[in-house]
Amino acid sequence: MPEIFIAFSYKDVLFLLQGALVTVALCAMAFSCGLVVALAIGLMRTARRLRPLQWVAGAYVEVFRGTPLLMQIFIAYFGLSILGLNLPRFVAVSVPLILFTGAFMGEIVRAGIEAIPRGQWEAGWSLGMTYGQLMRYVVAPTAVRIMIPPSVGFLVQLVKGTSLAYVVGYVELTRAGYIISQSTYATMLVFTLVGAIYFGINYPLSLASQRLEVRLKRHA
Amino acid sequence: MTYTFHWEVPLQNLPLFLWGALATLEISGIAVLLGLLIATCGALARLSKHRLLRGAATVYVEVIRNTPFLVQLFYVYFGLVVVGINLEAFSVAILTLTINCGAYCTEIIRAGIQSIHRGQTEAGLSLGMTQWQVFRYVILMPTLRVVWPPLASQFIATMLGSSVVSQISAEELTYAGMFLESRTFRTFEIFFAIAILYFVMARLFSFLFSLTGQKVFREAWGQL
Amino acid sequence: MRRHGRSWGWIAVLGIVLALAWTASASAAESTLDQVLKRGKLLVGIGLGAPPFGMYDADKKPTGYDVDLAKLIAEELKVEIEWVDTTSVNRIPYLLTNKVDLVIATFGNTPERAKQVAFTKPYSSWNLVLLGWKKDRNIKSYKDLKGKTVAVTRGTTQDIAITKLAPEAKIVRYEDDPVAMLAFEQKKADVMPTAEVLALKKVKENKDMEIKGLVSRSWAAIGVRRGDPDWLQWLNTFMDWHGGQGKFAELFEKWNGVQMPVALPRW
Repeated sequence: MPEIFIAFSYKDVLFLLQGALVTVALCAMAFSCGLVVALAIGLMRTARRLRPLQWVAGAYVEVFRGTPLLMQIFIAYFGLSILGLNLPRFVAVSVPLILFTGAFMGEIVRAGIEAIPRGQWEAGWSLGMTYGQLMRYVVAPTAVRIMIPPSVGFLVQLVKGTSLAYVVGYVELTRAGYIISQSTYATMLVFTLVGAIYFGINYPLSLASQRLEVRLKRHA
Repeated sequence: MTYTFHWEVPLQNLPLFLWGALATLEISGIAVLLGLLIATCGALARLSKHRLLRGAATVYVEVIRNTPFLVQLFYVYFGLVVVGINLEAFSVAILTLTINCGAYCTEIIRAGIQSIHRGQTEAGLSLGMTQWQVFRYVILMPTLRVVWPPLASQFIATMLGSSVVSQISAEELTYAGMFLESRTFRTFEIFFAIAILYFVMARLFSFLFSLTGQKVFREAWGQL
Repeated sequence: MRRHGRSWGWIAVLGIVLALAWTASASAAESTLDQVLKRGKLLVGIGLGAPPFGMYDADKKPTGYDVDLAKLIAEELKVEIEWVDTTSVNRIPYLLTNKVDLVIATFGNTPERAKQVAFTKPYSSWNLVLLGWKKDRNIKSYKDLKGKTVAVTRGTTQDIAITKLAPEAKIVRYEDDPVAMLAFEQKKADVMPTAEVLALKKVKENKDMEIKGLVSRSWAAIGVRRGDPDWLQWLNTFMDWHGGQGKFAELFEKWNGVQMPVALPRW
């Protein structure tokens, strides 16, 4: 009888760790680029005088938070391709991940900006500060501190969310788990390891987020 | 490339999709309600003076929040068998989603309770309010007001996250879509249809939340 | 000046988009056969969760009957292979957006599916048997499945066959084979229809299991894009040539340990 199942071995653990590297890389890329988008969205959503900007940003946030990330990646790669726009794989997975990050982080940025009392804004205006100066010297110092804990919290979500990159062919941690499970049929062992590695990546982040939150409260 | 869309495939199977959407609402709705119960207990445990209680709640929250839902799902579905509990997929889907949602809501409610200043309770009592009045007007309502928007987001996340349960054969919207896909190979049309249904449900959830919020707190949030 | 700069930027972006769209539509006119020959590389979408047809070896390289078949095709075309590992979600989209040249994933060639993709002649047939438990004496064949739970991998030939043959059974469909098998082993399902070779292996490992008769004979075909007769014709010629020389029977036996149950249909 031909050999059709493979025994689980140390090689498989290495394969999982390789997958974990892909996960971390995707996450780092999405987070750093998504931050730029989030900043723009946060500023647009708090622009009181410019209604259309608010609407555009609001619609963007709703769409990206209201549909499964899997669909977003799927449409960016396959959906656009059908319309004749063939994005390279890396771009096709990066863009939705970045926009997804932008939508969630955008709300965090907005919350940070809105936490600044109106009085401080008015004080800034009356001193003759420009919008940029106001943002930089009055809003940013406090808002950024407020934003840090939830941002790190979102990072945990993002680490898990990158597992959906499998749909365009990335072998990240979860997909690596599936691949090993499909060759060894050791499903529970494999997914225990997968869970443990995710925990190993995420727990330090969660811990950092809590520490920052506590420190923030002490300073406030 | 030229692709001929056949939208009649999802349209002819609309009852299947709607049935799936209802199942998704059922799974996530029950999970969210039960999750809130767990979360309230969890939040109180997180803030309690008992070390053991606090530790247990912390472990629960950290393990759930830092591991993928898929792994949790496999554990409940296949792992419970080892201790003699063999549940069917639909129950496992609700159970796991409840546990998952509970952990996230625990943190939301904890933050809400912590946002209430201790002095306010004392102020209420010194104004001659009864214990119940203090609980209702000084603790419960302000806490709810703080946690309402993040809870709404969490519920939407739970609803979208429930699509994973199709992996263990629990039947909901994604399962219905993938079943039809496996028969017709109309992946695009079916995926677009699913995405639209999820979006509609997310908006519905969020609308209901801000409506209840406005009614209960008389505060305008707009669409959350 | 600044404003002009910005609009030039937009024009550049638009230009790139249009160029991409144009190259995409321009390349679609040529047959996949010519594209493969020119490229010197065959892009194979493969399903690797269905032993013994497609699976990973210890080094995570594709192996199995489907893989050998793809290698044979590439050999005849004198091109190299690039494997594209697919799952049920992205299999068809990969094919229809020109990201693979063909899909070999034990596709059951149903008329319903053929409305969306074109199938070659079948390259393999195999026995689908019912794997069950010895203690369930009242289940003797697929005819006794009324009210019973059946575990299958969604969209496989066994799913399609059992859905038709046992309409009163409760069919639970899993994403991939290991999960379905684990569910069956944990008695979350009463039976699991599966390829004969897999069932034989399981019965050998676990004395409580037994094979409860034949469900049906399945066969699999290669999936390609519709509207490309040259490519389909070449593949069918390939099938005729090698099928006639018994190559598929030989490959089948190599991976299944038993003889191919029926000669492939010819027409």
